[in-house]
Amino acid sequence: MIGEMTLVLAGSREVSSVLVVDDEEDARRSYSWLISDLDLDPRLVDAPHPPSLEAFADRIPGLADAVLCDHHLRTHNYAQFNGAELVSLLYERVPAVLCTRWEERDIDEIRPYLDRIPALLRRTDEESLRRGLESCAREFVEGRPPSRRPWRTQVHVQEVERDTVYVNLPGWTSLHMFGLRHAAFPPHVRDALTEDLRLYAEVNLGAEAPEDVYFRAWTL
Amino acid sequence: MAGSAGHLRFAADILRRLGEELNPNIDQGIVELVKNAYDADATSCHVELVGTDAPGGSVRIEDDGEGMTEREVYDGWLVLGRSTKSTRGLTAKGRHPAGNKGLGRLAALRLGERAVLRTRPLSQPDREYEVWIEWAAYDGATLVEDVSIPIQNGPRASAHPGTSIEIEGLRDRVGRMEIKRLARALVLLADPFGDDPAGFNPTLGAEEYADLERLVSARYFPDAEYHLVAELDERGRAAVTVRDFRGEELFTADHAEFAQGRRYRAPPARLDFWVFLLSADVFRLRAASLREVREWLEQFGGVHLYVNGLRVAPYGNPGNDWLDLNLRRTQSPEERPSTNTSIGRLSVSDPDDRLMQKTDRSGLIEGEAFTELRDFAHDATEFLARRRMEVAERRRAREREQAGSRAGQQRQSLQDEIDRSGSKDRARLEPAFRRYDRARQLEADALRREVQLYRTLATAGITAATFAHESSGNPLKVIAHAVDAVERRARRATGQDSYADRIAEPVNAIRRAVDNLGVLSSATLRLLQADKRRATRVEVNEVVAQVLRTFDPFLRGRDVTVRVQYSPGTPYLRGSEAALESIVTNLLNNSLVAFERATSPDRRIDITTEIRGDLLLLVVSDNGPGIEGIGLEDIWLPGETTSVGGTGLGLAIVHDATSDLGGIARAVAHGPLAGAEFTIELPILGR
Repeated sequence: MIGEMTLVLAGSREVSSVLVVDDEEDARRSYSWLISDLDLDPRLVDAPHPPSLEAFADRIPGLADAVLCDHHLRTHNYAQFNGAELVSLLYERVPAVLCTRWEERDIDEIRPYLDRIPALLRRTDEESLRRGLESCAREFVEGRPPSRRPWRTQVHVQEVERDTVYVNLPGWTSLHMFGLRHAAFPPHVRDALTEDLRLYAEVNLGAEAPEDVYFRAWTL
Repeated sequence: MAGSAGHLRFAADILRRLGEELNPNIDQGIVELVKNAYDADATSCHVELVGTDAPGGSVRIEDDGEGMTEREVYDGWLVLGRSTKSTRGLTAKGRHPAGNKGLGRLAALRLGERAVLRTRPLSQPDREYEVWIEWAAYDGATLVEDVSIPIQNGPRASAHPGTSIEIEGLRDRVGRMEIKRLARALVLLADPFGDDPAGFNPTLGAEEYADLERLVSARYFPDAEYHLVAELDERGRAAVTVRDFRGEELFTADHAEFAQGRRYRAPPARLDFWVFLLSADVFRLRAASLREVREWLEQFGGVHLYVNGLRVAPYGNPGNDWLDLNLRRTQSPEERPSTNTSIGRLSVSDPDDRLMQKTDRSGLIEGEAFTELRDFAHDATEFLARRRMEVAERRRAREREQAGSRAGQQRQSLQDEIDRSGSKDRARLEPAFRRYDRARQLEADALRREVQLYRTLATAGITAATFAHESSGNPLKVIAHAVDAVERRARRATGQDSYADRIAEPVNAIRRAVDNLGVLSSATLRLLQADKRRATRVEVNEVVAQVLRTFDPFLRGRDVTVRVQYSPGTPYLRGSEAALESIVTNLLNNSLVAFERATSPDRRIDITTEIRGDLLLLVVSDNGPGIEGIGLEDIWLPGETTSVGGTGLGLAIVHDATSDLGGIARAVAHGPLAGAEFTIELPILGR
């Protein structure tokens, strides 16, 4: 394509094409305008092929140099997985940014994968896309920045509800309650969950906002 | 004194006292011997009670375990208080030893006048040892060690290893209660399904108690309310049948209905899944008690996996819920079993080894065959849950119908009684009854209309939420991206100055409109957040501020000025955020609707929060036309409205939500701003 350029990330990683994954055709095209205005080559995925999450993720490094993926992929019968699952599988393989509307429901759904999602974008303009891809590439090379580094810490269960477990992090702030789905816990921890239980997880205590906090490696 | 060493010795009588004090019940003594068989890795163990309904009967316990050598009899079986088995960790079959340190055995053996042990050790195929203990011999002895017990080496009665113990001349009778307790204990020791070649399968022979014999062989499966059988053939097609506890077929589905065209890429399998309704009502007429079934399910509940006839751990072990039964029950409790109310067996025939063990033997590799198999089992249990839900829904509909007709029957029977009463009473009662009946009918009609109204509004809410999801997703996103692209490209094509002069204004107008639309849809979604319906600490000023932030575009769009005066501090109460939000939202909506009924150059709403003792006063007043055309008491009634097309529910919700929070709602037709003034008094916990 005439005028096509290359974006150099983290000092050495070259990106000239960006794969667009979104479950709606107009939305894919609207992302492509942004990418081509950055003089990069947009490559639109009309349907994930092969349809299985792992197989599709394995194929992506051969399709483009970077990925822009929307979180909601199931609404329009496009994929059997969501964007957070796909982007987290691309960690350390391809710079991939995840776009979300930032509703609380979305954040709760994304949180279990957040440790492997370096860039979560609410607004997609030239600058935020460039910065998001740069964060990914830099994290792949230099490791997680201080705001995303995991620390073993205590988690305090406040309430156990039908589909959500509410916890807070005394080591971060006791004022915020995080709503976590039952499925976000490994089975041996899930079975033990009760009100007022104190357990442990790796959490990025350097995060500045609740929506950036992730939990992983749960233990009792 | 000359030096001589003594040692502790035991009087013969100590045996009687030890035996009696350790094991007061006969059944517990017998169970101890059965546990010895379990610890000896037996797969079968038969307990036969003969003539035990009166003293003098006998008990025989015979197993096919590894037997004992002469040395093991001498150093283990005859040594009280120490068991070689209990000190060696797991048995060769990986069992945790269940017997105690040998004292229980003493108690058991002393149940009769004599005990006879015959044992054929696995390690000595030609030997059989026999030991007789005559307890009468101790009656004449001073010390325990004065009685010698020969270990005789005799001809082997069977080629197979094993041990039998006979206790003859029982001192007491063994009643039904003892045998029932024995049967229950045997079931708890047994492999739940009885067909694992490595499992432990005790059996009971008790004359006159055929039902207890059956309990040991059949376990508690006949007490299950539902028995599901789902079969998967070699071509990946599945079919399912569910029967009730009488064996009557309840639900069935062939492959097309069950799997909706899906073929499971897994080896052939059969799932047997039993679901128990653990309620006192259900068990009132059953032979087994609720407590014993619950105890059994606590130990064996969950779905166990067998591949080519062999049990695969850890699937179905306590704490292992590999089909997520408990999780799904938590998410949707109605008509779904947990691992404590169900037991299942998934038997897989896998001659081609499509299922592979992990190298550390901690289960199967979660490859395609395993996940497909799990899906099959999961779909089968879901099938049962869905069918049970349908039945429950039909039952509820029938109950509703019957409630109506029951009321009709009662009405008729009252009318009949009035007709039968004397003519004087009848003349007095009949008009009174008719008045009552009319009033009741009106009330029922009002309730029916209210329920219908709530249903309609709930549907409107669900539809609004669906649209809010959709619009805040793709259409608004595409518009925002398109506007960004127009701006970028226009700047490049026309230059910065020309863009600012000619294009920036309409582009910015589109952006503002998109932002406003985004706020509307996210406001709808925020109202529906599940955590707002939890009872928790609710900060009143924060909720008011949050609702006002959400409403800001509406209020600005309608030229409404809101003045807020918050109380000092952080007053809070315990309740749901949704309740307080409903109050504030509906009062704001009420004012917005009122403004449409009158023209006013400046529309104004004042909101104050004020702490008075243990109460918080939330006051909302406006400069609209006030409350006209309806009595102040009637404004809280559902369906009462003075607005054309209004639902009449807004203030009813304010009233109900205030009550839910333990407060009181009051209204003044014309307050300080001339329009309506509402005061909500809420008890607070702190400030």
